[in-house]
Amino acid sequence: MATLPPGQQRDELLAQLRATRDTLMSAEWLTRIRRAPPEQRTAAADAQFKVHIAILDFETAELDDIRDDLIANSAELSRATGGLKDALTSLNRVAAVLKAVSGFLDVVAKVVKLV
Amino acid sequence: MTFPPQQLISPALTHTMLTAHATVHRVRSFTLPALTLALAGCATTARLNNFDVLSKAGGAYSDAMVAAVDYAESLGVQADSAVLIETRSERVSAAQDLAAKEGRKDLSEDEQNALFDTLLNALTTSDDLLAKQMQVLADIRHHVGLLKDYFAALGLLAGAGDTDSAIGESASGLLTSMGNISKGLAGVKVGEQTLAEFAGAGTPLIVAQLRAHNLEAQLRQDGQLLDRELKTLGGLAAFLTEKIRSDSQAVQGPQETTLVTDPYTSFNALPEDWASKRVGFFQRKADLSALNAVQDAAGKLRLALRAAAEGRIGADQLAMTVKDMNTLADWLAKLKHGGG
Repeated sequence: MATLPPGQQRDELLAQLRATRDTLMSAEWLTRIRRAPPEQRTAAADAQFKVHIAILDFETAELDDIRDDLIANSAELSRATGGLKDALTSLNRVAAVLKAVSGFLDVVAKVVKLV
Repeated sequence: MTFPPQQLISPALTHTMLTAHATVHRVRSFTLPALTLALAGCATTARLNNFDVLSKAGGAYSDAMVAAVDYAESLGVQADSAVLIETRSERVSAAQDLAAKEGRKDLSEDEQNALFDTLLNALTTSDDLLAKQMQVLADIRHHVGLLKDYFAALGLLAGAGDTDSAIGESASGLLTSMGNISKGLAGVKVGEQTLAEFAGAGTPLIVAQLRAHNLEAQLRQDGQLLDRELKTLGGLAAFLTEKIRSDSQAVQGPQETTLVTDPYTSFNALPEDWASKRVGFFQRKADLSALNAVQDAAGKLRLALRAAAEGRIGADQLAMTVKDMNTLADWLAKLKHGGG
């Protein structure tokens, strides 16, 4: 495949390619081309296919960039999720420790009464 | 009172104990009216409910994004097939018409080989590109799953009902034990309530505040990450919206030609369902505008997350987002299963 243009230029080209395919796959165009001479039909098929393949190529390049941006966040996102889970575990631990302290203080209270 | 060694106390417990201690002091000095406590409880409950709605909005948004990716992927394959079918038909009929023009009934062997090569090359080129694109979409889908996990964890922390009651009972027991030790504490009353009775009502509030505090702190810490993430996903939504619109046109064009335009431009009688089929194509074009809701949702979530980290969040607006996203995810799933 040819080297793809970067960012914004690629977006503009993709928009133009899609607009072209929209026309080449529209009901009006297809109705006319199906009645056209064989040479024109072959040329139309070539154009439709080339435009479509270029769209697939550009789309994948764009999605690649988006994926890279997202994956750059993946590790941090997993860590953040872990942080939330830790906070929940912490809350659970609070219950356990409070229970233990409460039991300890009950014993102290009994000892104080004996004294 | 005696605290366990410092290393055994988590920061969360320390916070709870200090809050509890401060609350007891306030009780002792009789400066905390029960009404204030009740109002504080309502406010904290409302904050936690908002976090719960926020987690649901995030989950619904993640589901809608996955549905959009799924639908874009499925429609992309349909669009590719539509182009392959249309170009194949044009090439084959053109080659046959050219042969007929020259008075031949069949294509020559060379013509057949050339056509075979062209068609096979088209199919394999499409297959390769689609496979590559589907792999990227699968990676993105997997990543959106991580965002959903985040919001699910946020929801667990926001609505940790069982944990609350366990902590509430334990903290209540702790305060009762403190009352047993200290005569001063044992005699304390808040209005008509003893300290133990008060503790039963007050500790869930302490725990709820601890949870809300944790959630806000976590969102402040994760704010930039989530903002970046949602900004990128907003860009993805915009991209998918355009892709779906264009692929839909590629899929529908040949269908519309066969079902609407060809019958209309022929000189034969129109099929009885011609008008209803035509309406169907128009309806479909209008429906695609609903995809804009996915883009809007990313912006709403970003604002809501910022507001939540600052303790000011509007649950009503988020509830609408949850509803919109659920509707959209259902709609995309139906479209996917109903074809392009």
